[in-house]
Amino acid sequence: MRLPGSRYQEHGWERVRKLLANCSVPILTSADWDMLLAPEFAETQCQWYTEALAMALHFLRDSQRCQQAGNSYGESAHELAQSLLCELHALPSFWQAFLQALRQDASARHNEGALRKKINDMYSALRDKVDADNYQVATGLPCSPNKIYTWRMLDTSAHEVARIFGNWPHSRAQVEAILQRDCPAQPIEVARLKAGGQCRPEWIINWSATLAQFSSGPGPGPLHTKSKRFASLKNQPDKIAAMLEELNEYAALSATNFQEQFELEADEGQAWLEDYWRVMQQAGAHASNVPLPSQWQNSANADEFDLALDADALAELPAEERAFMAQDEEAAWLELTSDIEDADDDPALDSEDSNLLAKCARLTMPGILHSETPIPRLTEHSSRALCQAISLPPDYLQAASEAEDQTSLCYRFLAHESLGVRLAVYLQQLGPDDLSYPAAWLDPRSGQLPTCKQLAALAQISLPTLRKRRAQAIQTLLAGLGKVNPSSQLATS
Amino acid sequence: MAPTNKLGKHSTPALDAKLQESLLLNRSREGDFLQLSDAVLRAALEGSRPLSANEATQLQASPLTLRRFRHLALELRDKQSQWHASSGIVLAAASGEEDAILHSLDLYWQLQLLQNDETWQVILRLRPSAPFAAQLLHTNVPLELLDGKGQVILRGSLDADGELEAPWPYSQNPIAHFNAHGGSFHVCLLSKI
Repeated sequence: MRLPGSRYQEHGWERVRKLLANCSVPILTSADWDMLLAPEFAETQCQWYTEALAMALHFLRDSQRCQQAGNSYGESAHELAQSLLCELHALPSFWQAFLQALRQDASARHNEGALRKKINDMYSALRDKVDADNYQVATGLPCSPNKIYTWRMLDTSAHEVARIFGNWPHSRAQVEAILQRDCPAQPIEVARLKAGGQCRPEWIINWSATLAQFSSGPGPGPLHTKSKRFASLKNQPDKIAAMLEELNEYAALSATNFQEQFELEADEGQAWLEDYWRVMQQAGAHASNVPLPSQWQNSANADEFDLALDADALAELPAEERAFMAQDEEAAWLELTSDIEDADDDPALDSEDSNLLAKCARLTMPGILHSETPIPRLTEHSSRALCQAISLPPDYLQAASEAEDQTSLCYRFLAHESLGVRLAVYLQQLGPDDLSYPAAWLDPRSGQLPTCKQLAALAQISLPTLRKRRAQAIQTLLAGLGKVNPSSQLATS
Repeated sequence: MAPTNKLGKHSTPALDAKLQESLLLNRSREGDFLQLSDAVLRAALEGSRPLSANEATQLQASPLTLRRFRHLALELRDKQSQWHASSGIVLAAASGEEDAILHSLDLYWQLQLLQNDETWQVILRLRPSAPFAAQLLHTNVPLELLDGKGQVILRGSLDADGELEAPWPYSQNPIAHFNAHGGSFHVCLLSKI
């Protein structure tokens, strides 16, 4: 399924989700679970987990499993997994809900299947949230994760109906149930659908209503389950038709020129920043403190679709289950079809990989939380020793400082901070190996920025303190971005 | 030790721009939604209605709205870049002794040549009904007027009336110059050269 802006809704999602689960399982099972589940450490644990997973993904980036296509826009499973991980960091409620699910099922620690399912649930819910945002960015229309989820349900259902029609005459009884009439010969609808016609909404409703009679598998269809998530839809064929039509229109449109469009946006790079600063300056020049027109406030999240959802059905679900939309029976039903299709393309994690991933977990483990010892101040003389102690060249601190551009945004706003913190900002925002980094910033052994742990040592602070200072530094930069126009800087340098 | 940089001195602005973009966009926020309508964002981009201070604050505070803003900005740039250049032919029959008005073949541009004693003044004027007029006017894109041999006659951005005016830069009178240099003129985006 493709929607405007969506990245995580195609078949390649299965690869992304398996990659994330494969990497997460050894990391999580090697964790200290008392600490992992302690509510007061949830934020620290989220940082630890995302850093360990980022490192694991980085180690595996050239593997076949990482390089497989994650969608038809040319993004690999690795790229999609990585960017979803950044979103997890930015939207901690998904991690919180995941921890809550672990707390409620103590068996997950030793039951890999249960753990995997919870990991899947977390990322499935997150990808729908992210794609709902992507849809809003691409179209300017409101959208919710629920709506994306419903679209996927309808898309899968329409494919099911097409499969059943395609199986005529063996599927005659089910076709009769879907069309609600006797079909002594091939019905015209079957021929039309085969010839590229559209699926009718009432077929999906009838298919869902009668699915239990024809299938030994998942029971009733998605519109007729006990949890009633989609129950309101079965009386709204118009809504189903409209959603299917949007899907079909975009599929037709994107089949021809979506790649081009996608590349265009990637190529334009930062050109839009000029527009941003111009608009901001003009706003400043005409600052009038006009009160916000109320209709925009009212349209906040005014997703007509959410309002139409069966409120009672939602209220029945416990909170974390509402967040984890993929946890209920429709989800199991949806996942079933995709799992059958590519059960074979998931190479098992070999033991070498597992060891590597467990190592990633240890490298970033916040054990220091328990025993935070004060780190002695180092003199100028000992800065060489410090660099050497963390396996950097002895003159790293000096060379890296000299390579800093003092007119850069980061330097101007964070001059009071230590180099380690400034580099940690770059590391978090742009990753370890951006092509624009000065060579003197890189660890010659890896060709990348030093790790968080090394940067913390450089700044002579603990890892949690580094994270805290980095978070403050980013807030400072964001505040700065609201006031200053650094583009004049860009134009003159 | 001199700062070393594997991409030379231009990498710093690139790094700075990347950091700015990442800071502005890569920070999904719980409960975020589109805070400004497309109409408001487009009007701000085209310059026809600047954002109010409140709207500017909302735009800055909402990564989702900023991402929509970026999308619209790139869309507009794409539309704008669909106009690359216009050309006009200068007829050899013109005497070159009096004021003249020339038009580009697509009729989007008018070139007015005014004699002022011994010197000449040249005015490049954009037709207000040109499909790309609004964007060119509001974004101050630098333009260039060239003769048929590619020599520069005018460079600069259009003023609010859609005009760009300067003294004629050559000693030969304008029509004679055009006739001696390919018999044509070209208007194009400076940034595209």
